[in-house]
Amino acid sequence: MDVFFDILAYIVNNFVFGLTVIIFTTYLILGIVSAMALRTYLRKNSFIDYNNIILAPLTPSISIIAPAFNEEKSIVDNIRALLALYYNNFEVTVVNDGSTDNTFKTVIEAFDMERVNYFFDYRIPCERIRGVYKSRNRSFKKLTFIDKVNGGKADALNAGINISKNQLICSIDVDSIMEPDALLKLVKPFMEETHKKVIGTGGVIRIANSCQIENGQIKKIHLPEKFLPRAQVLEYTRAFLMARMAWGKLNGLLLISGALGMFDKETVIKCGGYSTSTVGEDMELVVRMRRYMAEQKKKYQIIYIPDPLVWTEVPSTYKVLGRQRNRWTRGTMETLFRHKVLFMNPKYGIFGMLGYTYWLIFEWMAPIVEFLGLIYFILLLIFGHPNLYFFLLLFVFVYTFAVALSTWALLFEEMTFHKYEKRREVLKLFLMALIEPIFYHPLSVYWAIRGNIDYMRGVRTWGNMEREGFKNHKGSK
Amino acid sequence: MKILICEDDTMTLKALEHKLKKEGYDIITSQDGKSACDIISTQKDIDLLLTDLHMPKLSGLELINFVRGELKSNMPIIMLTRVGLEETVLHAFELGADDYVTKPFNPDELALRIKRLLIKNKQ
Amino acid sequence: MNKNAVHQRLILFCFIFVIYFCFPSTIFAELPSSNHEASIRETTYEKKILWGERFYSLNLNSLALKEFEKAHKINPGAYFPQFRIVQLKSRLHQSSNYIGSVELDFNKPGVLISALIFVILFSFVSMVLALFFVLFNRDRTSKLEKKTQFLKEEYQTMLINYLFSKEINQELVQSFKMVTASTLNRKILINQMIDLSITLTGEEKHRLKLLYIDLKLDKDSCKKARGRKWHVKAKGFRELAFMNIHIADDEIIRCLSSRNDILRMEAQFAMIRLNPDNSFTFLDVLEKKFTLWEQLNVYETITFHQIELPDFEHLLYSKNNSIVLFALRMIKVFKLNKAFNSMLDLLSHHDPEVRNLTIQVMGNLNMVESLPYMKKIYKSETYENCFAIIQSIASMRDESMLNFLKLVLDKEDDVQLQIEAAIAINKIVDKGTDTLNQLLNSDYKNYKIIVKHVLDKRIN
Repeated sequence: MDVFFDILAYIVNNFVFGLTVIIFTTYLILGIVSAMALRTYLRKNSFIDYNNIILAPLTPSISIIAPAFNEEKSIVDNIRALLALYYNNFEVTVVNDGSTDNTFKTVIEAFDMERVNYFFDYRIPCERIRGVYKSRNRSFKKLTFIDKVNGGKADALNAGINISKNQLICSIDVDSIMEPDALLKLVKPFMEETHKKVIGTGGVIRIANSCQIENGQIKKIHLPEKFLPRAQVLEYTRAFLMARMAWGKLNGLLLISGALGMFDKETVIKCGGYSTSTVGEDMELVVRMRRYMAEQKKKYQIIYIPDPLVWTEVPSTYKVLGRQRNRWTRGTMETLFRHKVLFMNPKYGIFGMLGYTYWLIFEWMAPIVEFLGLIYFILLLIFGHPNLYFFLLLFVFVYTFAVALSTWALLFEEMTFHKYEKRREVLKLFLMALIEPIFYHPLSVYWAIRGNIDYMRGVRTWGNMEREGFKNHKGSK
Repeated sequence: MKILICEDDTMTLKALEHKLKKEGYDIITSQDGKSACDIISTQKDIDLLLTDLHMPKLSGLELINFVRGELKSNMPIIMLTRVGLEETVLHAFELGADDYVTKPFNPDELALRIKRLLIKNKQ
Repeated sequence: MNKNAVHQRLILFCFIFVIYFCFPSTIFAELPSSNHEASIRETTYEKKILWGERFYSLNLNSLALKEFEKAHKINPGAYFPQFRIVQLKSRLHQSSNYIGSVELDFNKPGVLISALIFVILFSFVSMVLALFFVLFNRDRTSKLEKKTQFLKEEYQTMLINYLFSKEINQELVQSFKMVTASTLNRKILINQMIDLSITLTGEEKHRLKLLYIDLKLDKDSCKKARGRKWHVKAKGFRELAFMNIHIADDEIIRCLSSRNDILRMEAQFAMIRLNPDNSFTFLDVLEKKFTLWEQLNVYETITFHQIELPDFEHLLYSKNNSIVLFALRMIKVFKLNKAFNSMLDLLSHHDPEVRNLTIQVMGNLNMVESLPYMKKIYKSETYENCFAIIQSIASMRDESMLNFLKLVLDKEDDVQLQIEAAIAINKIVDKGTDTLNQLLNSDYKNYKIIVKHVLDKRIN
C-alpha cells in the first residue's frame, strides 16, 4: 500500500507542480497582455468622437434581435429603451418564443400592434411563425414583433435573423439593459476592418443587481447587496477584464456572450444560424463561425471591446445560479466535443491551438481536476499518511493566488472604467475576494461537476430560469 | 429682450452667452431640451429661442415641436446645427423654426440674424 | 508539411508530454546492456543499486528501501546498501512522525516547495500593493478631476473675454502667459483653445490663432507632432490642424501611410484641413485599404469644416478598390450626377462589391439612363448584385421596366428576389399596383402571399 501511495504521490506531485506552473504562467501572461491591450484601447478611444458615427450616412445597418420568453414584467420598458438607442440606422425585432404568460398581450397593447401580411422566408429553419406584427404608431416604425411557437433561444434568434434586412445582427437578451452608445462601439470594429473581415464583436457584461433602474435605463450603479451576485461581480470582472481581453487581442476568443453580440449576418446565415441542439448556443455559434472562416481559408477577426456595454440581472438564489452554471458546463462540453477537430490543429491557427486548449483545460477540466484533487486528499487522509504541512502550504498557495488574481482584476477595473464610485464598495469587493475562494468557489466547482454528470446522463434542457425582476423598478404606466 | 439659449456643449454655450450679453440681451441658459421646456412653460416673457438640434434627453426638434405645438407660441426660433444635416434642418423648418446658423458660427452674423428676427417679430 | 500530418504530430506530442509529466524518470532510464551468463548476478546487484539510488534521490523512500534490501540480500558484504538502508529508515521514521527540518517535513522535492513559497509571497505582496493603489487612487484622480474642471471653466471664461473684447487686453495676455508656465495648465488651456476653434469662425477665430502663436503654443504642438510616441504625434497633428498652423506638414505627409490606424487618420484629417487645395492627393497614392471608418471621418471633415469638394470622379479609376467605393459613396452623398459616364464603366468592374455599390448609387441618384445597361448585366450577375439591380430599378420607378420586373418575378425561384421585384412593380404607380392586384388571384409560385406582403403598407 505504501508503494502504491508513493508512486501515486509522485505522479500527483509532478502533475500538481506542472499544472501550477502552467496555470500561474498562463494567468500572468493573460494578465499582462490584457493590461497592454486595455491601455492601447483607452488611448485610442481618446481620439474617437462617436458622434461622428451617428450622424454620417455611411454607417452599416443593424438588426437588433431580442428573443423573449415570459418577460411580461419588464418587456415594455426594455423595448422602449432599445428603440431609443443612440444610432441612426437600425431596427428592433422582438421574438416572442411561445411565452406562457402575458408577454404577447402586453407588447401588442403597449405598442398598438397589428398583424401584417408578412411573407416569412424560413432561410434558417425554425419553429412555426404564428404572426408578424407592426405598430400602427409611426413612432414605433423601427419595431417588429414576431410571435412563434416555442423553440428555445437559438430558434428565436434564427427567426429574427430570417426577417432581418440589414447587414449586421445584434443578439441581445431582452431583459438586459444596453448602454445608449453600445451600438456605436460595437459597430466601429466592423467599419475598421482591413484585409481581415470582422465577423463578430462583443463587449463586457456588467451586473445590474441592486442598481437603480428607471424606464429601462441604469440611473445609479450600486454593488449588489446579496452574497451570490456580489461574488459573481468578481467572477465577471476577472473573466472579462483579464482573460477575454487577452484572448481578444490574440484573436483566440471562443465566446461572445449571448447577452450582447454583434455579427455579420451573411456569415451567420452561411454557417447555418444558431444551433438549436445545444444549450450553449452563443459559444457554439462563435466556434462554428471561426471554423467556417478557417475552412474557407479566409482571414477574419473577432473583436472584443472592453467597454461595459450591457447590464444584466444575474441569479441571486442558489437554485437558479446552480441551474445556470450547470447549463454553462453542459454548453461548454457540447461545444468542445462537437468541435474536437480544433484541438491542437494548426489549420485553425491560434484559435485552434491555444484558444481551444485553454478552454478545454481551464474551463472544462479545471473543476474536475480540483474535485479529483479533493478526493485524493480525502483518500490520503483515510488510507495513507499525508504530509499535512505540505497540504497546508498548498492550500495557502491556492488561496493567496486566488485572492491576488481578484485584486488584480479590481485594479484593472479601477484603471479603466471604474463603475463603482464609492470607496466602500471597493472594500466590500475586496472582502468578497477574501471570502470567495472558501465559500463561493467550491460551489461553482460542485455545479460544474453536476453539469458534467448531467451531460453524461444526456440532459439537454435549459431548466427554469426564474426572474426576480429588477429592483427599484420604476416603470412607466 | 430675453433670449433662451439651449445648448449642451459648455464652450459653445459660454461663447453664445457672452456675445449676446454684450449685445444687450438678457440671457437664460439651459443644457438640455427637457429643462428648456420647463423654463419656457413657466417664464412667459422669453422673446427668442436659440437652440442646438442634437441634445440629450429631448432633441432640438422635439423642443421646437413643443413650443409651436403644445405652447402654441409664436416666438422666433433659431437653430444651431452642424453642416451636412439638410434633412434635419428641413424637418425643423417644417416644425416651425424661423432661421438657422451652422456651427462653427460667426458671432457677428448670429447677432445680426437675431436682431433682424426680433424686429420682424415686433411688427 | 501537410497540415493534417502536423496536427497528428501535435496530438501525439501532447500525449507524450502528459506521460512525461508523470514519469520523467522513464526518459532517463538506461536500457540494460547485453548480459553475460557469468555477470548476471553482478548486473542484477548493480541494477538494484542503480534503482535504489534513483528512488533515494527522488525521495521515494519505501521503494528505495526495498531496492537496497534486495541488493543487500544479493551482496551481504557490501557496505553501501547497508549505509543507505540506515539512512532510509531514519527518513521514513522522521516523516511519519511529522518532525524534522523544513525540507524533510514536506517530503517533496525542494524545488516544488520553493516555487510554492515564491508564488505565495509574490501574490501577497502584489495583492497588498494593488489594494492600496485602488483605494487611494480614487482620491488622487478625483482631486485632479476637480482641479481640471475648475481650470477648464476659468480658462473658458478668460478666453471668451479676451476674444470678444474690442481691444487686446494686455492683462489677460499676461495671465495666459503665466498659465503656460505649468505643464498641466498649459495642456488644459490648449484643449480649451482647440474646442473654441471648432465653435467659432470669423474674426474671433483669427484672434485665437494669433494668441496661440503668441503664447508659443505652436512650438509645443510642433514638438508633439515630431515626437516618437504615436498618441503624442496624433495629438500634435490635431492641434496644428485645428489652429491652421503649417510648421510640421512634412511629418504629416510622412504619416499618411503609417501602420497605426489612428495616426494615419489624424494625418489624413490634418492634411485635409491644412491643404484644402490638394488635400486629397494622398488618395491617389494610397495602397492600403481605405477603411469605412476612415472614409467616414474624411466625410465628416469635409462637411464639418466646409472643405471644397475635390474631384471624386477621377478616383473612380483608382486601382485601390476601397478608394473607388469611397468615391461612389461621396458621389451619392453629394449628388454628383455628372459622374455618370465613369460610373457606367464600373458596371463591368472586376470586383462584385464595386459593381454592387455602383448599381446602388445609380438607383439613389435616379440615373435612368443606366436602366438598359442594368437589364443587360442582370443575367450574369451575382445574387447580391441582382438584388441591388432590382432595388435600384425600384427607386427609379420607370414604367419601361415593368415587363422586365414581371419576368424576374416569374422566372426567379428565390423568394427574396421575387419580393423585391414585386416591391419594385408596386412602386410604378397605378400600372404597377394594378398588375400586382391581378396577380392576387393566382396560386402560381406563392404570388398571392408575396403580393399581399408587398401591398401591406405597414411593412417598411
